[in-house]
Amino acid sequence: MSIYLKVTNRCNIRCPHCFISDYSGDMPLDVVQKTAERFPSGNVIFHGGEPTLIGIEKTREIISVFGKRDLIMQTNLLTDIIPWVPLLKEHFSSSIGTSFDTGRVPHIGRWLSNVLFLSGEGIKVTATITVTDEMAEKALYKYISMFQDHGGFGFYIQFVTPIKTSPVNMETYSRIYKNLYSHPMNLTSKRLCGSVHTGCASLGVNGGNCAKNGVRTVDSDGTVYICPDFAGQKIFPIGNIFDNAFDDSIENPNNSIFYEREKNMIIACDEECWRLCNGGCVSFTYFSGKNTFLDRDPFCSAYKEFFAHAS
Amino acid sequence: MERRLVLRADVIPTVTGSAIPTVIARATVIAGGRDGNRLVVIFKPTTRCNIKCLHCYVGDMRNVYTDMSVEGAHQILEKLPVKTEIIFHGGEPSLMGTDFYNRVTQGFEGKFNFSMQTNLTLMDEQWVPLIENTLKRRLSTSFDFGESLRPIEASDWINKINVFKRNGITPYVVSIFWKGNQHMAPGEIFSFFSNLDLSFRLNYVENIGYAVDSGFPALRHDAGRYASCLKSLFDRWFMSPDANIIIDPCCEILTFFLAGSSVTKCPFSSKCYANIISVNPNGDVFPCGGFDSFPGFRYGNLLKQNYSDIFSAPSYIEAGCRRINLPSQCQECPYFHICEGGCRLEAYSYYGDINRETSMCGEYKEIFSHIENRLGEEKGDVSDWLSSLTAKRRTQ
Repeated sequence: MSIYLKVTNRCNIRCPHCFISDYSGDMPLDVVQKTAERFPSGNVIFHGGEPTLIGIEKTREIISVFGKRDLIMQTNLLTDIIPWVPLLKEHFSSSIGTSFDTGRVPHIGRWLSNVLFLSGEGIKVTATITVTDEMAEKALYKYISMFQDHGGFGFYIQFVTPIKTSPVNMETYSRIYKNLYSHPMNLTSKRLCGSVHTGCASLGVNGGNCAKNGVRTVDSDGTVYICPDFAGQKIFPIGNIFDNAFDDSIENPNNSIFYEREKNMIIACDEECWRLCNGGCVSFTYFSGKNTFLDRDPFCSAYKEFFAHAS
Repeated sequence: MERRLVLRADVIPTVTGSAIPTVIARATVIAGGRDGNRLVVIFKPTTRCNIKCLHCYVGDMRNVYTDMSVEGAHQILEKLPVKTEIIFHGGEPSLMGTDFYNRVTQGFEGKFNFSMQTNLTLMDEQWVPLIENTLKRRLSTSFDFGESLRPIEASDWINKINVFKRNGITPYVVSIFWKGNQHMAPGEIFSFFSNLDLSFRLNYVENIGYAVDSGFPALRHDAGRYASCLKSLFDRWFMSPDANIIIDPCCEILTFFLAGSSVTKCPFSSKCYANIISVNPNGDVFPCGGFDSFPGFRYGNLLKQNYSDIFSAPSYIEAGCRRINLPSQCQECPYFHICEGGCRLEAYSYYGDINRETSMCGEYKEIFSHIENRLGEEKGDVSDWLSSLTAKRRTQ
């Protein structure tokens, strides 16, 4: 289980494709404490908004609530990150997650300098790079390459969820993944393929599992969603941290839709692909105009094309 | 003569013939390229020099700047990240005197690693405490075997070397292979440095600075001679049971083939833009010491801006894109992971385009292929030998 903790919805930038609709509200400590009770295990991802905006002291308070859990910080790395280094070393396994996309191109210098500073301090920086249609393929290689040159540890590629922007053209999607996989610079391959199986921050897949028991997002006011995309849009809440339990049992009515989805997907999908994608991304499916989870991911054919290419 | 060390079977180093090192190299790239992310700053407190070398890349720029003040130096150092490698450079840095460096480094000893690149001509015993205590014996110098590009007598230079060696300081040497000494037998070159127990790097003349005024074609070695010399040097070094020195770039290429780690040093890394900068006496920041003559490559000014500001300079981003923009024959070359197009300064000074491959491409391929094949003929472990040599280098 991964718990996205939206410690704040505030953000220092406004990316055009960002899934957040309301950039206000820090998470009060009682929401943090209740979250720890409701989800007694699982790693905790400090998310936002921009989580570093709450400051180091507030972050320490939240850390103390979760004790020895695995903690992850997901930041845009466009704030003054250097004072955070001791905290990252002590509580975040000397690692940090960041993100990059076309909306942040004007800030690339600041981003790269922070990647360089952190990696120089022994912090492993992993980037999630969001691809939009505006990001030409060559630009994507450029950002990956420069990220690595500044000591970036690893990266994931994800394609923009069509909330505020149009979805990436499916042909673009398929072509970029195939080209990345086979690029002579070897920009990707193992890491990409490894992550196909493990989470949404790669191909935007594995959705069936993330919804059923893999991911929960607690918004700053205590409302619980599946993933940050839904929390950002405040769509499809599955309960509130003060009122509901969030186990993954089939008996829990909050979970029934996910079990139903899985059942639908098994029937609808080819078995070999199913093992790789689990029906694809719940968020992609929902925000692609279908307004339901109970259908296959609209990028199904692109995934299949990539799987065939990779294999 | 037989090598005393044999190559381990599990690190059979072929790029062209086996998938193994390709996989290693690929994993290295994926896992985040650089070996150590320390910034290297070529720190020029002065561009003055007491001698005039025919190929000097500073050229007439030496007369443009006034010397850096101690306060200015502090202002710049305070903006740099911890663990940065500061190389006092020039011009001739010893012209600033020991007192300048004692004052500049005061309070920064734990934050940075300091070293110095000097022609040695002005240095004597009084520099030993600074080099011993503050620079931690990290001293490098320049010298050309045979006919020299520099107005330095070999005997004088060797006397200076001996002053420092008597005090336990063994400088690293940058040496230039050029038309004037290309006829020398590699064995003589090897013996010269080996007898002095001096590790060295063999460079070549670039089309910048005084080399342009001196007539670049008259200085540059004849095509193929550098490769021929370096291959022969590699064989002598690699096959010598008593070799106790490092010859670069042979050592760096060998390390790549053995460990798959990307080469981060000149002239091979396109990533140098991210971990090397040069700071002029007035605070101007350039990609490296040799770019001073090309104002379009200026990143910014560390007396007026923060370090993080230079990352947004158009020339910085352009440099970052070079690896992507290199010609397809580079990207598809089996040795791309070693050379990454070679030095962009060299490419720019030769072709006027940083997105071209180095003009040394053909010679480098010859060298890479030679070292790769040589290793393929070995049957045992050279890793320990290489490790002991590179450990030695870290103290130089």
